[in-house]
Parts: sequence; C-alpha cells; structure tokens
Amino acid sequence: MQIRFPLQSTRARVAAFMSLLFLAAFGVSGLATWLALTAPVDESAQARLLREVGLTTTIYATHKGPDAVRLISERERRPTGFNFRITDPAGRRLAGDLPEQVYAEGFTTLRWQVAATPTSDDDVVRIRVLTAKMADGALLSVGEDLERSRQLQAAFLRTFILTSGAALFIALAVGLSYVTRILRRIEVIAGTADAVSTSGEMGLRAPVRPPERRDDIDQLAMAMNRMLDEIQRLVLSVRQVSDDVAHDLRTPLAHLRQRVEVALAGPPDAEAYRAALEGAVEKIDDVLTTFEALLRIGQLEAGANLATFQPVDVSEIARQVVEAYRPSAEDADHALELYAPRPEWIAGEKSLVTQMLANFVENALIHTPAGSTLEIRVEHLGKSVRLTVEDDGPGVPDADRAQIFRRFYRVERSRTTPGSGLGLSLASAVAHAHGADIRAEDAGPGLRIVVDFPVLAGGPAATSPR
Amino acid sequence: MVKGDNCPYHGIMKVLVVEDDSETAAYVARGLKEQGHGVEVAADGRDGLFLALDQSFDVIVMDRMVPGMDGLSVIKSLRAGGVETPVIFLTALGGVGDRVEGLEAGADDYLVKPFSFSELNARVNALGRRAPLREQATAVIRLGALELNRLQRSAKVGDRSLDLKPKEFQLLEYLMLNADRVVTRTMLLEHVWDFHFDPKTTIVETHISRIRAKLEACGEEAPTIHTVRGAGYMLNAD
Repeated sequence: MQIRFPLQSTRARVAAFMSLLFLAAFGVSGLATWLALTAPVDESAQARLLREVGLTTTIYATHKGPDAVRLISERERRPTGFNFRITDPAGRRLAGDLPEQVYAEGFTTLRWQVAATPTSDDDVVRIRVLTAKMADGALLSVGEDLERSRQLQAAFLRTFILTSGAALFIALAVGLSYVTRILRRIEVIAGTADAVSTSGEMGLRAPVRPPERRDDIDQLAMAMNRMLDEIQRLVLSVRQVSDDVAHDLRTPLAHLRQRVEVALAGPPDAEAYRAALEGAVEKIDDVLTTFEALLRIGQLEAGANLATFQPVDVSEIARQVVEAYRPSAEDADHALELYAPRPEWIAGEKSLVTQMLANFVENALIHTPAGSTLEIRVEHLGKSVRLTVEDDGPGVPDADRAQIFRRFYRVERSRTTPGSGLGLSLASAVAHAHGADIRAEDAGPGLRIVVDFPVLAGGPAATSPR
Repeated sequence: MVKGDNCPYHGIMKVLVVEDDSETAAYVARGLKEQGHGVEVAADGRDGLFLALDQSFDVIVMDRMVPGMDGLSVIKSLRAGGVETPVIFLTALGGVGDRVEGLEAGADDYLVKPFSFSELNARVNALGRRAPLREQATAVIRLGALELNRLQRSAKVGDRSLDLKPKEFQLLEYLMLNADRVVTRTMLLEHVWDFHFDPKTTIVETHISRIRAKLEACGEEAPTIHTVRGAGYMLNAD
C-alpha cells in the first residue's frame, strides 16, 4: 500500500495549519490584552505626575525662594519615587536630581544613566517627566521612574508566552492524535479497497462501528461496503450465468453431437440423414431458447429494461393470458379461474409481465394432474398490486419451495416433465426488475405464487405513455 | 410495387438486405432468390441507405449492428427522407428494449437472430403485401365461401354462421388477410396474442385445431387451414 506518505503529509499539513491558527488567535488576543493592560498604567502614571506637579507648584508658590527649594529637596529624599529639578528663569539649577538638560513644558520621556559607566540594563532607567512653568518664570520638572510599569508588562508578556505555548502544545498534541486516529481509520478503508482490487477477494468489507457510535468515517465505510455489495452481486450474477451456460448448454450440445455422429456412422441413407438433421435443428432451437432465456434473465438482473417502463394494467394482462391458455387448459382437463375485478396499474413492461404470468400458468399446467384448478387473482392491497397464481395440485415440498426461482432448479419428481428449468427464474427476474416482491407458498394442497408489485400512484396518467 | 392480389404467393418482390455478416447475407439472399425475388445486398449501413434512397424496394431487411451507420439510424434517415418501404429489423438475441427501439425508429417488423429462413420469408411476404392489405381494409373480407364481418366480429361460411371466440376470430382474420401465404407460429403469437416470447404450451395449435373443426363442420366449401411443415400455417380458399 503506497499511501503512507500522503497521510503523513496530511498530518504535517494539519499540524502546520493548527499552529498558524493558534498563533494568529493568540497574537490577536495578546495584542488586545496588551493594549488594555498598558493604557491604564500609562494613564495613572500621568495622573500621579499631574498631582505631584500640582502639589509642588502649590509649595513653591506659597513658600517662596529658598524655603520652597528646601522643601522640595526634602520631598525628593522621601520614598515617593519622584525626582525633581527646579531651574530659575535663567536656566540655572536651584534644586533636584534630575539630569542636566533643557526641559520643555509638558510630558517627556527620557533615559537616565544612573551610573557613570553603565554595565547593565538596570543602570539606565526610563523616566517620564512633567515640566511646568512657575509664576516667577522658574521651571519645575517632576519625573517618575517607569520601571514599575515596565516590570508589570514584562510579567504579563512572560505569562502570556508561557500560557499560549502550553495551549499550543496541548492543542497540537490532542488535535494530532485525533487526526491520526481518523487518518488511521481512513487508511483501513483504503486498505480494504486495495485488498479487494489486488486480490479480487470480493467478500472483504471495511469495519463499521456499532450504530450508536457511527460518524462520518463510518458513513464512508458503509457507502463503500454498499458499493462492494452491489459489485459482488453483479459479479456473482455474471459468474452464475457463465456457470449455467457451461452446464446447461454443454449437455444438449453434446447430445446433438452424438446424434449427428451416429447418423454419420450409419449407412448413407437420405431418409435417415433427414431425420437426424431435423432432430438436430430441434435440439439447436432448444439450446437457442435456453440461451435467450439466460440472456434475458441476465439483462433483467442488470436492470436494463427500466427505461421502457410505462403504465400497465395487470388485470388486463391476466385476462389476456387466461384467454390465451384457456383452450389448452381445457384440452388438458384443467380449470382456469380468474378474479380481476378492477384495473390495477403498475409501472412496467407489458410483454415482460405477460411472459411472467404465462410462465406461472404454464408451470402449473405442466406440473399439476388433470382435474386440477388454477386460480389467478389480481387485487389491490394498500400500496401494492398483488398477483396470485394458485393451484390445487400436489404442491412443492417445503425444502424445494424456496429454491424454485433459482436457475435450472427442478424439483426432483419433475425432472422428466418438459421445461428448461428457467421459466420461474425468468419470472422472478421480471418481478425483481419491476421492484416486486415474489414468493412461493404452500396452498395446502398445491402451490401458491404471490407477486406484490408497487402500485402506480395516480393510475395510467402518472407517466406519459411512449 | 408488385400487386399480387390474384396470385400473391408468386408475387415477385425486390428486397434489400443490409447485413454485414457475409454468411448470413448469402443465406438470406439465396433463400429469397429461390422464392423468385430480386435481392440486393449491402454490407454496411451507408451503402444500405444509399441503395434504399436510390432504388425502390418492396421490402428492406435491416440488421441492427452493421458497420458504417447502425441500422436504427438508417431506418430513421429513410423515414425522415419520406421512404415508407416496409422494414424488417434484425436484432441480436435481445430484450424488450431492442424491439421497442426498432419499432419506434420506424421499423414495421422485427426478428430476433438467429432466425429460420422460413420465418423471415413469411414475414417478407406478409410485409410485401401490406399496401394492398390496407386497400382491403374494409368491414367485410371474403375468402371463397368464408366471410368475416370485422365490425360485427361475426363470421359465416355460405349461409351458416360460424361461432368464434374473440381470439379465434382474430386468428382467422389474420390468416385471411394473409391468405395463400405462410404465417408462422411466432407471427400469430405476436399479432393475435401480443406474446413476444415462445410459450411451451400449444396455444397456437389448440386454437388452430378448434377453428379447423368449426370450419370443417361447415362443409366442403369452407377454406382449409393447412399446416406447412417446419414453417407455419396457410389458409387456402380450396
């Protein structure tokens, strides 16, 4: 089986697709969370700076000069996390630790190198500064270390990456094992199909789970199994036909050959030759009849006649058949009775249904003794039209009854009566081609054959005649 | 067309045989020639169509499976071209579908292969007489002393009325319309009973013997149904 690689690649494609999907989903949700998380942090930092600037401005305004500078310097040494710088209108530093530089009014962010020579990231801090102009022209700058919010964001990022990684891993593991299980089941179905096509073993079927656990894969398996059933049925039917041909056509051909050989071996006599040739033609006709019947059965079983179906009145057919056989039946001292009070329409092929019923009648006339009665009924039963052919002859033993529709099947005691053994199997093929249910029953005494056709809804107008 | 009403059995016809199997074609052609007919043979559909359009034939025997152009198409082309020559359609051992297709395409009769020559011959003769038959489509047909009223479905020989069952009437009617010609058992099954299969029971024989008995009961002047050995039946005035 050469399908391992594509299955592997299916697995790889599924994994890649799932990873991408996950990354995209996490990316979007992470970004949203990030924005939601960092904006309030920034806002509160700004609010704190504004409050502090307001406070310090008030201190500066109320205390004036060196007092104010001292108070603010003290405030810088308290653990509030704020740094200051006050410059006079000329730009000279009055107090505060914030680095030497020109501060514009409003918010700025600056990097402050804490150590003289920076050795690590911690030696440089990012500071947010708010600068305001005092009433006397002095500039007051208040800065806050941004480190705290940066740590918060870093923690968030770490957690986020960790959790999304774990989720991705779990999803991949679970998803891939699920996909692998499904692919394995598909592999089994493909394996069955391959085994059937390479070994010709028509009996193989893909496994299907019990009904309560079935899913799409089981539907696939069941569809394939149904297809295999149908193929197997057709193959068997073809095989059956060729077996039948081999068996039942070879025998009469062998007899024919013997007969001709015997005639040739005898003295050259025109009369004898003529008799032999006439006998030969008769035998050949028998073979051709059998051959034709076999082909017809084969065609019917292959469903080749459906296209010609049209509305057919079974009661009318029964009348015609009874009319045709009544004189022969009377001559043979058989009574033919017909009960078909109303027209009963089915979708069918008239000549086939006629032949089917004729075969039943002939079968009964041949296999029942003189004085027997044969009754034919056509009735409407719910959604079906029932055709019944019943005789009061000796009947058919239980063991044989189920077999009488098989090709060439003949009940033991009727081996010597004429007939090809195909009449009832042809009838059965006709019934099946019409979607009808056919069975043989014990009429106690006698044989009853029942054919239930699906009724043609809407009568003769249901389908347009050809 | 040769009108052979007076001596129809010796009516000479021109028959076209479209058949690619040379053995079958030769067998059919020889048989028809022995009957006194003129025969042309075409080995493929195109030649057949050309001949049928070019010359006038009384009957065409057309095989379904011929090279060039299949038999169905040839028949359709002929009918489309206004050629109404009767056609006997030859099908291989086939089911209902083939027969219906052939008749729908415009064939007048069909015959399932393999067939006996007597069967084909009987059908060729019956078809060749079709045109005069239509002219004869009157209410009352007569043969010698036998008279059939097709409207009243009644029959009489001379002054004696003949009591016939419906199928017996149809059978006698068909024999009369083909009087002095061989009618095969299969033709009777198809035309009288609409049976397109061969029953094992002696339906035809039984009906024939009943009609014979009724005719004989009417005396010497009634026509006779002859059995033609290996072929079928023939109704003669005498």
